[in-house]
Formats: sequence, structure tokens, C-alpha cells
Amino acid sequence: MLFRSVSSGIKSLLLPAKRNAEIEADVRSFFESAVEHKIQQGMNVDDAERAARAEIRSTEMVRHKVWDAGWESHVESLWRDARYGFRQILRSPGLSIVAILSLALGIGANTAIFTVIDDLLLKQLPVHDPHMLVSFGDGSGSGIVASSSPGAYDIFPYEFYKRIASRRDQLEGICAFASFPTMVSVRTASGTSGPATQAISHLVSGTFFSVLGSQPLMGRVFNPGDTATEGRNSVAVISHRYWRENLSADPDVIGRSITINGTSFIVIGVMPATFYGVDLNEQSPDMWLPITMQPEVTMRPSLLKPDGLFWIHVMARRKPDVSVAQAQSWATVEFQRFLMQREGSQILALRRQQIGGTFIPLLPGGTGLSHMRSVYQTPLTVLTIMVGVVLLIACANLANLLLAKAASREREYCARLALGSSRGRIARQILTEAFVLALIGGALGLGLAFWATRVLIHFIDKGASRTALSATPDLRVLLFTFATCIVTAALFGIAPAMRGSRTSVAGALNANARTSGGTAVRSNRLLPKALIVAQVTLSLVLLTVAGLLLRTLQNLRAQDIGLNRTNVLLVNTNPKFAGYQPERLNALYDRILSRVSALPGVRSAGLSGGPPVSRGSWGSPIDIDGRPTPPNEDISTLLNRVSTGYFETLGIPLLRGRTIQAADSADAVRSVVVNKTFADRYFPNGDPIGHSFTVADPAAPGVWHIVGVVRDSKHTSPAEKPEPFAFLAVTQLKGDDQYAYWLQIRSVGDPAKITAEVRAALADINPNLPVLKTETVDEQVDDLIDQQRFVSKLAGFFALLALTLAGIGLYGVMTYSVVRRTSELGVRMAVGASKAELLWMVLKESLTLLVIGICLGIPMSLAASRAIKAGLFGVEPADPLTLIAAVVLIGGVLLAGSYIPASRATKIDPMVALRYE
Amino acid sequence: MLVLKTLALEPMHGYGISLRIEQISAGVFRVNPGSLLPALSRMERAGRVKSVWRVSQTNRRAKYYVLTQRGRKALEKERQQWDRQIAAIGRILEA
Repeated sequence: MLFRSVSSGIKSLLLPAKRNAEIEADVRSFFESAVEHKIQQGMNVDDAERAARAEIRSTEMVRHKVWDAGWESHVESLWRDARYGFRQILRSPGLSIVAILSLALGIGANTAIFTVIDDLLLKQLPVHDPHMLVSFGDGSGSGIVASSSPGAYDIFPYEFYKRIASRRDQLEGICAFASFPTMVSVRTASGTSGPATQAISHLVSGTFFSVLGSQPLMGRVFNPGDTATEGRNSVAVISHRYWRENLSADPDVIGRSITINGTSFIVIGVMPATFYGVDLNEQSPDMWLPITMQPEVTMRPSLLKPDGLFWIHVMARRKPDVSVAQAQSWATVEFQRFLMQREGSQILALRRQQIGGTFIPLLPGGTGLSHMRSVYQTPLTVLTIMVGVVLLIACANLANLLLAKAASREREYCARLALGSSRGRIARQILTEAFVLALIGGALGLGLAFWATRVLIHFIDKGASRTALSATPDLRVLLFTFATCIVTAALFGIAPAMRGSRTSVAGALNANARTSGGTAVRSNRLLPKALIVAQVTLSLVLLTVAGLLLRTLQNLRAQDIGLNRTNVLLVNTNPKFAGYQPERLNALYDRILSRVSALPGVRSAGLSGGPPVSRGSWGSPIDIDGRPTPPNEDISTLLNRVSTGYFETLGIPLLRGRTIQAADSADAVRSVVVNKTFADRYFPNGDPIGHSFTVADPAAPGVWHIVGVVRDSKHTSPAEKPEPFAFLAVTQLKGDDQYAYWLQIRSVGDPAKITAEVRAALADINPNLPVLKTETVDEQVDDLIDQQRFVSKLAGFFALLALTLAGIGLYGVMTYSVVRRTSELGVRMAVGASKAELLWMVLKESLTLLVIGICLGIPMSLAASRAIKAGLFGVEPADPLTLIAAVVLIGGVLLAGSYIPASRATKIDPMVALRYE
Repeated sequence: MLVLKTLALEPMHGYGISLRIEQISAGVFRVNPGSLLPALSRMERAGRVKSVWRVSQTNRRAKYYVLTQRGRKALEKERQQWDRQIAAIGRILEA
């Protein structure tokens, strides 16, 4: 029945002519029967026809009534409204283009930001039943750490996983994986010859794929047997992308052998293209390797021992009948028990108390783990609010546009009301027009957003080729955009629709448009003005916020980071990939430094373990000889390992003593250079030179003698407070900690010019010595503050967008008002008003709005600035300069926007004006 | 209901229906085509009647409406409802 109704409705919608013919045939048949019957009763033909016609009355009316009986008539009238609306839009193309463009920008910005939010914060992992996954901790920590302080844990030793892996009483399955991806060097050709490529690998437990519920595209995934024994089972599961791009989509790839960091692995499976693992980070892994192969893959000592460090993340699949709280307390108890046993039989009361304070929060793991999420959450929230405000401003423009149109169409509405149209019908018509506008704007906005999202994602992942972020709008994004269109249309359509439907029949029809003034119009003009004031207020808030964020960025960039950053090239390499053992490193360092320093255009060069500025850092507690460590004192110190020429190359000034020299060879007394903060903290009254300390990290054994003090430099952020820092001589370290990964080069001119020569020099020393990355210090600093760059640049863009929209809005409203008052202005001119007076009269109107808007905007801006205080650096929330600049900017733009119509008003020819209409 | 009842006797064309209702009700109800045709269209949608083109007694093609099974049920139901209402109204009036 429903089907019949729908199908016949659709049929008549699609073929209205056929339906009309049907109805007409019905009516005619009725008519003919009536005539026939009347003739039978004895009327003559003419009389019979006349009587029948009188009975039927208008065929047309019957047709309408039959039409109205079906649901399709509503659709049809909606369609007619939409077409009418579309024609209205086409009738004033200029205004409509402005309206549609502002909407497209507003909706596009919202969609773009939402796409990123969707990708980063909302999207579920492409695995089976993602909402049943729980993560042990938030997974924000990563690396290899030796900590066991009280608090929430998200990073664990492998031993802990081994203990709980087989327990099924609370959780259905538990898996573990390294908290960091590992760059590996891969040879895909047979044997050990052939070119090596870099790939990102992720160490995972044998239960990884089964807990996620992911099936391979080809071959098999890991099973618990693959990680049962350490160092065995050299098997690999590769990503779809890696298979396609590096193994040319070899259909016989299963069972093929690839060499990873010198160890041969057998490919056992290929994952489908949608699978990207559990980490939603800039780069997704190319391959997954058994966690038990950690020493071979990371080329580090084993982390799998019972007393191993903390380095894995744990995820689990919940049981439907066990609550998260139950599972969480179980995990916490297990973890505390584990820590206790690790301590051995004699535990200090303090330690026991510390362990009692540890806990494992079980958090939803369905969206995967991401460090980007925590970095970009706040900026994205700020930006979401900003784009929302931009859209509101666009809505105000649209409302003004439609109000103006409604006012000029007042007579049309009157006529329609007088002809029997219902008020609801008129309101519906205006709303439909608003929806048509919104949908066109939304469609354009979607296109804009697609492009904008790519730019945003490119910024976030820094152009990584393998990323789990996608610019392609999914269903959720499309729904969001559609919903935004509807809400927007409702927002800007309701006021004009109410206005239109309130048109009084008596009023406007007999009056002509010119005098359709009086009381009604005064209230009509109030709404556009209020909208303009709101626009000014909101724009001012956005401008102030954006101004503060831009100042912050400027301050961060200009911040003295304690080293001379011009003309420095940083080269990232890895001697491990070329097969260097620690014993051969010092000779390699000598060759690199002498070779690179000798290049033309190079002033000096130095090696170091880590780059001068970076997020990650190496740190350890230290113990100064002859100085008792007060309890509860934080004695941790940041560490780096450097070669000769490091300080000279980076331009870090030496304050006392000497820097690391060639004499600090492997057999000499261990030398270390410390920074000023280090010296001031541990030797407030004396000379640190000649003193020595030991480092708690077993990687740097022995006694280190302080030979020099250098100025403080920033390490992890331009905004940080200086921390104690010690630079150990790289040649005097042992084993894994002797590797230097960064080469610093000071050039004579532009560092970009010597990149090729440096590459050639390194290749000459050993063709397998890879250049992983070349950067400048500025690029590294930019990397550190990319969160601020992201938010401040976009905020600036959106604020300008808002400003433009507000300017256009005021321009539109003022132009409209001048046009409406043409005859009034003409009369004024005719009776002797000067041009300046007229100009002032028109300008005064917009100035009043501007002043009200600014007065409202200043306190709101201050409130908004205070809300983002945490994100500011080197500038107060109530920074008067920023506020003044914002006020001046908005005043200038809006005055320009109203000056054009105002000056047009003064050019009115009185004669033309009086004859107007 | 009246239309359905009329059709319950035999299939009929539109004018026939209006004529029949007028005759039976002795001129009390006059159904003009402006109400009848939309009503028939609605009932057709609802599946209570179906229409067939037939040749009438005078060799003219006319649209005949036929009551369907569903229409018969609907008539039965509406009729019961009507009877109940009439009875109730009658009781109220007589009270």
C-alpha cells in the first residue's frame, strides 16, 4: 500500500503530463456520462452539456484537487519554490555571488576543520568491533624509560605483558607493541647486496592482529607462536602500500625473504590497504615484526629481559560481561604486584608507598593511539570555535541580504497574500530560497574544504608519504556539511521568513514602495543594524585572538635560542645502517669531520648524538663527586654526546674552560662540557672546572670531568626555562651510546648549496652511509612550534576572513539603505544640504554601529584572550597593542566598506532622485 | 464510506457513483466531481478501489471503479464505527 502510494506518487512527479492527462480523461469521462444521462432523461444536447458543465464547474479546479490528494503535491510545490528561489538568486547575480561565496567560505572552513577532527579525534580504527578495544593508559608516552614513579601508567616493560598475556579471566585478549616505530634498513633483493631502503617497522606481539581482529589480504598474520621464543621466528607482515610500492605487488610475495638490518626475515602476510595499525601518527608502519626480534630490529641490547626497561604499550579486547572498571582494577592490582616482585624481597616503605600510588587507566582504544591527538586537540578546539564564529558572521550577511530582498519584494508578497496565498506559504518560500542558497554554498564549500583539508593534513603530517589521515570526506563529513547547511539556512532564513509572512496586506499595496515607511520600517531596519553590530563584535574578538596568537608565534621565532642559527646545516645519518660496529666509530668520525671540514664553503663541522633542538631528549640523574645529594632534589640532567667542533659550529659561546677537543680520545680522561644552568645549580659559589660527576645511566659509565662551561641554549622549545645540560665527549662513550646520528655543518653562505657536496662526501666515505634528512636549525625550531604555527596561521586567516565578511556585510547594508533613501537624499540636496553633510549623515549611521560593536567587542575579546592564555608566549592576554591594532583594522575596513555607498549618496542628482521610481 | 458502499453493489464509473448516491439519499447528498474524483484518487492510492477502463452500455469507454478486498474490509470497519457513533448519538439524544 505504501509502496503503491510512493511509486504512483513518484510516477506522477516524473511524468506530470501523463498524470494530468489521466485526470483530464477521468473528468471528461465523468462529463460525458453526465451528458449522456441527462440526454436520456430528455434534455437536448446543449442543455445537457451546460448542466453537466455547471455540475463539474472548473475542470482545472478538479484537477488541482485531485493533485492535492497525493503526497507528491508537497514535493512538487517544494520543487517549485526551489526553482523560484533559484530564479530569484539568478535575478541579482552580484549579491548572490557574494552571499554564496561567503557561505562557501564559512561552510568550507567548518568542513575542513571537521574533517581533520574526524580523522584525528573521532575516527575508529579499521578493525573488528573497535569499541571493545581498551588501551592501557593513553599511549601518549613513548620511548624507552626507566621510571616507576606513582601515577598513571601507559608504558610498560615487556615482562609485565608476558605475565598477563595468557590471563583471560578479565579480558578477552591482550596484545603489546613497541611504544615507538623503528626505522629499519631493508634489502628486498636476494642476498645482502643491492640497494638498501628505509622503512618504518613496528614491533608487535603475536596476539596483536588477533586482538585487533584484523585479517590479512594474503598469507597469514602473527600468532602467539611467533613471539614465543626470543630471537627466533624472523617473520614479517607487510603493509599493502609497502607491498605495492617496494615489492611491485609481487603475487608470490608470501615466503619471500627480505633482509632487515642485516637479518633475514620471511614475509608471511600482506595486510589490506585500509589497515594502518594502532597508531594514528604522521607515518603509518610499512611492516610489523615480532616483538621478540627487538634486538635485531632496533639494533640495541635486548629490552625483553625480566628487569627490562619500560617501552611497550598494551591494548586489550574487553569481554562483554566484564565492566571497564572491573578490568581496570584487575590490571592495576596485577601491575602493582608485578612492580613489588621486581623490587625483590626488601622494599623500603617509601618505595612500597610509591608503588601503591601507581595505577593503569583503561581507556577506549577504538580510535587508536596518537601523539598528534594530544598535540592538536587544543588548537583544533580553538579553531573549531573560530570557524563557527566565521560561519555566524557569514549567516548574518546572508540574513541581511535576504531581509533586504524581502523588503524590496514586499509588494509582491502583498499581492500574493491578497490573491489568497497563505502566510505560511510565503514564509516557506523564503525559507526554501535560503536552503537553496545554503546548499549551493555548501556544495562549493565542500569542494573548498577538500582542498583546504589537504593543506591542513600536509601541515600536520609534514608531507609524510604514508599517513593514516585522509582528506577524502567520508559519510560523516558529508552529513556534517549537510547539517551545517540546514542549520545555516535556518539561522539566516528565519528572520526574513518571519518578516515576509508578517507583511500586512493593507499597508503596502496602496502605498507605493517609496513611502512604505513609518513605524513598520523602523523596526525592520533595527534587525540589519543589530546584525552588523554582532558582526563587528565577533570580528573584533577573532582579530584580537588571532593577533595574540601571531604575536606568540613571532615571539617564539625571534626568541634567542642560545645558538647562532644562520648558515647551519644539520644532516641526519645512521652509521648502524652501514654496518659500523662501535669499535670502528671513532675512526669513522675522524674521517667524516676531516672530510666535511675540508669541503669548500664549509667553516666547521661537528657530530652529536641528538640534534641541537628537538622534542626527544636523553637525560639521567647525576651524582656530583664530593657533594652529598639532598633528598628530594631533582638531580636529573639532560645529556647529549658531541664531538670536536660542535660548539664552534653551532655558535654556542664558551664561557669558561675549553670545549671538547681532539685530545679527548677514547683512552683519555673522560671530559664533559656543562651549560651555565648546570654550573649555577651545582656550583653556585665556585668554579665547576676540575670537578667531576658520575651519570646514573649505565650507558655512560665512569667519572666525567668538567672541562668547560657554555652558555645556555634552548633544547625542546623556544619557550622553555633553561635546564642543566651536560655534553659528553662522544668518543669516550661505549657501545650503543657511542653512535652519533647528527652532523652539524657551518657554511660560509647558504647551507642549501652545500647539501649535494656533503652527500657526495659521505657517500665517498662509505656508500652505505645514508643521509636520512637534511635540515636547518630554523626548520627544527619550526618543527618544535608547529602546533603554535598551525593555530596562529589559521587563526589569522579566519580572522581576516571574518573581517572581510563583516566589511562586505556593512557595505551591502549601507548600499541598500542609500538606495532606499535615494529620494529622501535627493530632497535634502534639493533643499540645500551640502555634500559633506550628506556624507556625514550616511557615515554617521555606520560609525554608530561600529562604535557599539567595538564597545561590546572589547570586553568579549578580553574574556576570549584570557581563555587562550595558556597558549600565549611573551604577550599578555590584555595586550593593549594587539587590541588597538584589531580595533584600528576593523574600523578601517568597515569605514572603507561604508564610505563607498556614502560617497555614492553625495553623487545623487536631485532631479534624478526625485523622479526615482 | 458512501462511495465504498455504492461500489459494493457493482463496479461503477464516476458519474454513476455520484448519481447513485444522489438517488439513494433522495437528493440529500450531492457529490460533485470536485470532491468525488480526489476521493477516488485517494482511495485508489490506498488500495481500496481499483479502476478499469470498460466500454459502457452506450459503447463509450469509461473508467469503472471496482471495490477491492481491502476496500470491503475498510467498508466493514467504517460501517461498524459509524453504527457505534450513531447508536451513541441516539442514546444521548434520547436520554
